Amino acid sequence: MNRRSAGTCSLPKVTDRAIHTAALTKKYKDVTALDRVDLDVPRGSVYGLVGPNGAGKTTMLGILAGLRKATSGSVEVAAGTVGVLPDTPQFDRWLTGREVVELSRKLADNGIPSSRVDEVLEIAGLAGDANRKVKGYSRGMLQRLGLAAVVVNEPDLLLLDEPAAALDPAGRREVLDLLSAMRGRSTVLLSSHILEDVQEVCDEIGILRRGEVMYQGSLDGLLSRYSRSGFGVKVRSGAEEIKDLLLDRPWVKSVGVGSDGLLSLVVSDRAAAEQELVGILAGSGHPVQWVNQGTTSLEDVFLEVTR
Amino acid sequence: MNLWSLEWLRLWRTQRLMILAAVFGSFGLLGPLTVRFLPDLMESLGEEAVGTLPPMTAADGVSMYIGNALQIGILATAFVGAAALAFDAKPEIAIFLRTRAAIRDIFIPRLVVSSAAAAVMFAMGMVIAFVGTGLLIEWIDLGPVLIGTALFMVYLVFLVAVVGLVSSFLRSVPGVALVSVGALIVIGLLSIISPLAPWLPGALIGSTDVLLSGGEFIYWRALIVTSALIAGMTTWSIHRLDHREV
Repeated sequence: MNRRSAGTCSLPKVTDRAIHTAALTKKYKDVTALDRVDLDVPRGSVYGLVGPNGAGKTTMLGILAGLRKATSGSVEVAAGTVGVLPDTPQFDRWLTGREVVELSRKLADNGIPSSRVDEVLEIAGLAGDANRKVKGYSRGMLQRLGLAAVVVNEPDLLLLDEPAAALDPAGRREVLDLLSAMRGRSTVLLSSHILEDVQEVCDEIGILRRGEVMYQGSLDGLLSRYSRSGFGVKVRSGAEEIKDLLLDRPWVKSVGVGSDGLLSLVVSDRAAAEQELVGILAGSGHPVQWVNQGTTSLEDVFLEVTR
Repeated sequence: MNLWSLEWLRLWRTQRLMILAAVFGSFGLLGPLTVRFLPDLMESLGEEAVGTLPPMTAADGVSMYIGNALQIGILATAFVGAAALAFDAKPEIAIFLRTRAAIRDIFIPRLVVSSAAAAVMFAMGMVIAFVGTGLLIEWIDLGPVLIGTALFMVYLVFLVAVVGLVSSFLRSVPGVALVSVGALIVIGLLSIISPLAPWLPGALIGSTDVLLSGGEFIYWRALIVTSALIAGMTTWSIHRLDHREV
């Protein structure tokens, strides 16, 4: 596989996809880290690669960055410049933050003006610490500095390994906003185990488990495929009685009863449920505190897919 | 800021240049001082002690410097070289560099700057030893000293090239430095085989002593072999590092 450094790319261009892998396999002795992975990352998308520890996310990013070699299969990266951010960025401790970003800009050598250095340091919230040596930076600051050093070159493709993992809530918000702002301008492929973040910023998603792709496509498509129509009902009394009443209806698939009068319904016909549920509850004679429509989070889906 | 200025900054800000200067400079001073005052010191200990000392000459001031430089100086150079050349020791730093520049462009400045720093500091120590010998004892011929210094500097470049090659096999800085010194010792032991000795890089180290004592210049073979080894090891190191996974 060709090694790509920022500013160069000798791989075939594909117009609608920034990344395409076919039957990509990586083996470490007897361990298969990636098993015939077909990955398609649309150009301009923010793509979230999620999976449990050991799923192969970092290996995948390493191969795409040209830092590791695939055992078999093919990789096409259609990007002029590629920026890579490891999960725990480190730099020579005796450099200042500004020098790190400036070095990154100079090495990419793609005509970005030096004023861009201060600009990205400001965006990363490091303007005030730019002239401090890196050895005094916290882990969160290093993460933001790493991102600044990547973003300064305005790469066509960003490969980010857990970009917000070490950040406090405010830092996380800044990074997520920065990533959202890059949608359409750059293609972003990020691995993360913070599913909330993925759900917030990504429009495409790939789920890896033990080196295999369990799902890939739009986030909305994933959520709608795995979403289960359901309702939550909270009653003050008579939960078991209401459960029996509900199970008599053909559109009710299952009813779970919690210890505090909380009923969880899974239904096969949402329209029928919306028409009849409130009437059944009113007819039961028991006081009802609330009824709500259940939603499916990425975490629910992730757990189901990777189970 | 580029990869060349990065290396000079590394030497300066990590005080490694100062360490090299202190090592070679102090030995440069110690050589002539020892030659000048050791006999007096031994005499104060008694006649028996003086009897065990061979008679000292002015050239011994420079020889003593080279002898010391050969031990601590080479160890210091190996560590300074390893700290620069083992850039895969921290994968995150390796990722920063490798995704922005070609291995050749990362490796060559580190090799050249580390070698240059060690060679210049060695030369500085030699100037101190030469001047100190002249002032304290008597002036010796400059020509053999200059030639011997140049040949020792080539040996230091060879040493850093060995460090570079070892860094393509190992990743940790202490590991690279110590294995490199071990490799030099093994290469030095090859000189036991007499026909091989004039061809080995180690022949360059003793050139100053031989030339100062009126010996002929017999170092072309060692110079050619050493230069070829430097070029070969550098090419091989870059090739190996280019194919190494991070």
